[in-house]
Amino acid sequence: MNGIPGAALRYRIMAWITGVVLATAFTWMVLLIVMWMVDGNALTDFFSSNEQKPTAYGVLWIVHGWAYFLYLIAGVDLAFRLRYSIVRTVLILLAGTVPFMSFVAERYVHKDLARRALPSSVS
Amino acid sequence: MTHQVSMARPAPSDLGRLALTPRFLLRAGLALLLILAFAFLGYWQWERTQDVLAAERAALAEPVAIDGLNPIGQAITSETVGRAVSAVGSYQSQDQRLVVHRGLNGSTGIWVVTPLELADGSLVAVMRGWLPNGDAPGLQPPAGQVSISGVLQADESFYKGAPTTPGEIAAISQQSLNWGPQARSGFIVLASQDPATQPAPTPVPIAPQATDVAFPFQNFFYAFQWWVFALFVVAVYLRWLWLDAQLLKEESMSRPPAPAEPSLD
Repeated sequence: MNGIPGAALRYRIMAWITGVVLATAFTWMVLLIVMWMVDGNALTDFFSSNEQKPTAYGVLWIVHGWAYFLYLIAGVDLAFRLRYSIVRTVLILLAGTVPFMSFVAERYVHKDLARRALPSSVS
Repeated sequence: MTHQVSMARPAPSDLGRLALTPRFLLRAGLALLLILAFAFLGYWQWERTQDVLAAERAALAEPVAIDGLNPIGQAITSETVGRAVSAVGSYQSQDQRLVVHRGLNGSTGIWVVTPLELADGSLVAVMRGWLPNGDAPGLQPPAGQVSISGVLQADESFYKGAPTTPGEIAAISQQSLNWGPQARSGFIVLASQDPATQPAPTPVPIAPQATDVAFPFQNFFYAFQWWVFALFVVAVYLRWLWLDAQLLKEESMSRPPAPAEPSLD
């Protein structure tokens, strides 16, 4: 199947967007939780209460959700083209939900591409 | 392996035959499990959306003290109208007003509006309920301190200048009540009173309004998204089936023509 460089570029872009949005939202969440617990509240109440969370924070998670959906499409497309195994594909796809892991997955995929001596569209 | 542009287009019958192989039946089963799981997760987020809304509405329906809500000289705002409120004070029966021509369950009667004097000396109108007429038992409010809860309403603005006899009014407003500069605007529709007294006017139930709670967009979008993911599983399965069928076709085309088509039956 052709179109590997294009698919790799699409995957790389989505991995970075998803990764940056997720890292921002995750860091923000950690900060909010620290402030929440410094105020003497229980950790479990943080997730059941929406009052102390800024609107932009919630929006960021929604943005991550849809960026991740595009990441899935780009990731599945690339995995099909590279004929990756199911396990490898699922791990790459799940990396978009773990903070900072999509960067790792993206590095892995592009190293793999370089090893196969297939031209990656971005150096 | 040569990098030729693949031109093999599997026929629908190829796809069907491939879909019934053990390998693709297993994949279809896994896809179905994923779809069910995603549908359930979406339903769970949808439930969370409803729960958060209910909790926010319940918090808003919890009565707040009237003290800072409608200070003297300020009109009821759109944020405070319909709000569940509580107040502590004593009824001033000498300034009680009867609102005429008010129906309840098909019978015409009156509403009883009594000023409640709060600790700071201000007066707030309490619509204590409905009576068939001004001679019915229950007209007199209890003496002494009571704590009440109800729903805050804005002044009524209709029937201005309607002719009435003293002590009777056509609509509840600061002008018609005429209680002087200590009166707060609006009125409380009584829901409960402690201590309760009998006989008393029939309560006119009004539900607290909760239209302005924050909608939990995050849960709502997550619910929607899980269902989109479920559809995505279908797309991945079909793409997989198509690509594998294409691969089989390419392999059979690159092979020298076999004497007979291998049967999969």
